[in-house]
Amino acid sequence: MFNRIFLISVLILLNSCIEKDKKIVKQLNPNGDSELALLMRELYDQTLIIKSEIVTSNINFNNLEKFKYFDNLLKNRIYLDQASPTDKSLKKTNIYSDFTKKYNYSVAKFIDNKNISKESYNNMINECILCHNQFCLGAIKKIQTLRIND
Amino acid sequence: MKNLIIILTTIFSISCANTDLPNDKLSDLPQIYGDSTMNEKGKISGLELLNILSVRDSAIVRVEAPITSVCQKKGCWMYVDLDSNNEMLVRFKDYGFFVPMNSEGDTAIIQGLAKVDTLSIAWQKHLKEDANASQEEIESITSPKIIFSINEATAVIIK
Repeated sequence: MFNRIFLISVLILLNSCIEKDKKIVKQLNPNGDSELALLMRELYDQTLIIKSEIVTSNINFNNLEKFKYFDNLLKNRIYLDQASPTDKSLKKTNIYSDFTKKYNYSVAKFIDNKNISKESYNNMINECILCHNQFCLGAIKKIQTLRIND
Repeated sequence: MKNLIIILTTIFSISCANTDLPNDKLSDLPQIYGDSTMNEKGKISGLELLNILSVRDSAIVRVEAPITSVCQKKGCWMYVDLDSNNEMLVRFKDYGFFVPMNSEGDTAIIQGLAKVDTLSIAWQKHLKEDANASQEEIESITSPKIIFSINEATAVIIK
């Protein structure tokens, strides 16, 4: 009986010691995310789903208005120019704003065209990359994963 | 027998209580960014990594090194010292996590593929901009640079 209690106690103590050696797992961005960073992450997730729909040819072309990810893309794109950025200097000139206009146009062209094509989809992604080339190189590799390759 | 159970219960209570650190002590614990399953097993020093990269062009490692600077825009890259003459640029896989912008001076254990790399002019300028360098300093960059890097660190422990 004593041996059992002793053994269990040692195990509990050992476990509690191991627990003390734990580390804290941090959230995605410990510095806090800007509105624009969150919006872009959302656009990335939505575009990734759209890519998958295109690749697997699951898009219902007769019901595009109800295809929620397209709707989300159309709604969210207009906030790109309004959301507060991480780097406040981003909006010091009109360059970023011009890029968002080009991107918005490419989204409209991609979605309005009832014959949704890989080309118009990739053009949309290219607009993202062009803008990031100018302002934020770090995300380009991730954005490139959105491209549909031949 | 009763006494023994009381003693053991007391020890158990104390050991359990110690695992719940007060909030002001939580920041003293190592912090993991990225892959939460990362541990320190097999970690090597910066000097050991330099020795490896002197005979190989790349290696998957866990390397421990002091942080010398961090991206001041978002925390999306950092430099660590491998020794007194060699630094290494660290970026994070898929832009998937970031490190605190005030980590300079802390020690990091970085997990990923370390290699000898070429840093383009555009990237050098971008890093300088992120580090709030002067325009003069940014414009003085005119050629690519050979560096040590971990471009897609999967996790970082900072302590």
